Amino acid sequence: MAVTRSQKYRMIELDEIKYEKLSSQALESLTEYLEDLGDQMVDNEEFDIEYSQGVLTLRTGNAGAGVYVLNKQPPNKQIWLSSPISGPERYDYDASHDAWFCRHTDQSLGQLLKSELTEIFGQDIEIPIN
Amino acid sequence: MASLLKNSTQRAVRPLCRFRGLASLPVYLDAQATNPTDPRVLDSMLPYLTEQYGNPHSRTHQYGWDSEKAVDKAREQIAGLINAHPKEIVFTSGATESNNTALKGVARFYKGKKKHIITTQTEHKCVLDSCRKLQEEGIDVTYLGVKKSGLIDLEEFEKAIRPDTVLASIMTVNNEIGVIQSIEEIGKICRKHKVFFHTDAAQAVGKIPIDVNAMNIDLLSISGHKIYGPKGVGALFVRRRPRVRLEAIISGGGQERGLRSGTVPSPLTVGLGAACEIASVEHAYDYEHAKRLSQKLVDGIQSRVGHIERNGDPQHTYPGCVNLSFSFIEGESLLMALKDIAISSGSACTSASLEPSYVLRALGSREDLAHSSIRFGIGRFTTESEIDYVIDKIEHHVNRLREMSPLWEMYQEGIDLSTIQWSQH
Repeated sequence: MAVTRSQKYRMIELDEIKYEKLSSQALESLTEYLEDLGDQMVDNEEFDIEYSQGVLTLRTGNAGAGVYVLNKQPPNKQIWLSSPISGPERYDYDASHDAWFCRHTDQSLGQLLKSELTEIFGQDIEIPIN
Repeated sequence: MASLLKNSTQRAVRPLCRFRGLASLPVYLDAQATNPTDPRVLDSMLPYLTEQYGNPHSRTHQYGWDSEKAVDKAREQIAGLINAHPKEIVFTSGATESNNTALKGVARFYKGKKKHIITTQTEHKCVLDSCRKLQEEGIDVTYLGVKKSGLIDLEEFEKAIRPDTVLASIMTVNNEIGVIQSIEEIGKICRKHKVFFHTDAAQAVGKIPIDVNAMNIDLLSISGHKIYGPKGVGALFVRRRPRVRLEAIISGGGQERGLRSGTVPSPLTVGLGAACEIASVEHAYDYEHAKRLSQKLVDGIQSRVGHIERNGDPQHTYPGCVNLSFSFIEGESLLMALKDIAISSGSACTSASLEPSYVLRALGSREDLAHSSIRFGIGRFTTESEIDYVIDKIEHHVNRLREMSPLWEMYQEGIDLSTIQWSQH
C-alpha cells in the first residue's frame, strides 16, 4: 500500500466489482451533468462531451481551454485525469468521503474540476461528484 | 467532388447492365423497393473494398486512419444534405435499423417518466412492428388514421399529444403511395409540446428538400439504396441540441458514440456519403425528371385506359411514386401479365402476404380497388421510352383482362357492383 501524504483522505481496498460500480457512477454522472451544461451553451458549437468505453472526453470548444480526458484504470482501481490546465493526475477512492482524491495534494477530483471548469467557462459549475 | 460529377453533364449515365444490352431483364419501375447503385457511387466505394480496406476504428496504422477519414467525410456529406452537424449522424445497416433504434431507443430511455408514442397507420412495417413490441413493454401507442389524401389531420395529431408523450414518428414520404406529410407543421407542433419528432425519411432524402432545423426534426432515418447508394447501409440523424437521449439497441464496443456498436462499414458509408453529395447537387434536376415522366405515365394511362384511380393526393405526392388502382381487374394478374416490367403492388416487404396493402386500407380504399393497385416507381435512371413502353403494355393487358372480367361485364350491363352478394363456396 503506497504512502499517502493526504491528510484528509484515506484510500480503501476496492474489489473489482465495487470499483467498476463506483467509477462508472462517477463518470456517468459527470457525463450527464456536462451534457446538460453543453446544451445550455448554445454559442459554443465545438463543445463536445463523449463517454464511451470507460473514457470521458470533454472538449471545451470556443472556451479555448483544450481537451479533458478522464478514464478508468482498473488494474490500479483509479480514475486518471488529463487536464489541459493542470496536467495528468491519478485518483483513488475514499469511502468515508465518497470521493476520488489525489494522494499528492489534498484535493478531490470533484474539487479540481469545479475550480478549473468554473474558471474556463466563466460560470458557476456544480460538479455532481465530491 | 468535381471528379464525382464530371459525368453529370452527360445524362446518359446508366446502370452497367443496360450498357451490356441485357435485353432479357425487365424494364425497372420499382424505385421504391430499391434502385441501381449510381456508377459514381460505385467508383467512390471501390478503393475501400480493394486497397484501403482498413477498419476505421483501428487507431494504430495508416489503414485505419485512412478509413476513418473517409467515414468522417461521408458523415459530412450526409449531414450536408439534411442541414445537420456531422456529429449527429450515426451509421446503421439501413432505415429499418434506424427506425428500430429511434423508436425503441428513445422510448426505453425515457420509460420511467414518459410512456406514450404517436405514429400513423401508414408507417413502414418496421415502425409499426417496433411500436407493437413497445406496447408489450408497457408503452402506450396511438396509431393515427389518415384522410383519403393519405395525409394526417394536424388537429387530430395535436389532440392526441398527452403530457407523457415522448415521441411522434411520422414518415416524410410514404413508400407505397408517395404522399408527403406536412413535416414542417408537424415539427412545429412537436416542438411546442416538447415531444421528440422522428421521421422515416428513407423515401424522401435526396428527393425533396429536407432541413432538420427548419422542420424541427429530432430523429431522421436514411436508407442507402433508396438514393442510389449501396444496400446494407443507412443512417440515423440524432439531434444534439436539444439533446435526444436514447438507449442503444446493439451492445458492443461502443462505436458511433455508444449508440451503435459494430465496425462501421467504410466502403458502404463512403458510398452513402457519395450518394448524398450527388443528391444534394442533382435533386432539383432529378425531381423535374421524375415529375415529367410521372405526368406522362399518368396522363398516358388515364387517356388510353380509363377507370383508374390514383391513390394518394397528387398535390402532396412525390412524383416518382405513382400508385394506381385499375377497376374491374385483379392486381396480381396484371402484374403477372406485365412480366417484362418490374413493378409491384403493395410494398416489397409485405408482398409475401395475400392481404391487400394496409396503407390502402387506411386510405379508405374499397376492397376491390385495394386489390387492383399497382405502384410505379420512377427514378434517376428511368427513360422516357421506358414510360412509353409501359403505357403501351398497360393498355394492352388491362383491356385484355377486362375482356375476361365478369365485373367488367356486369358494369357494362349497368349493374351496381356494390349490390353484389358474394357467396361462399
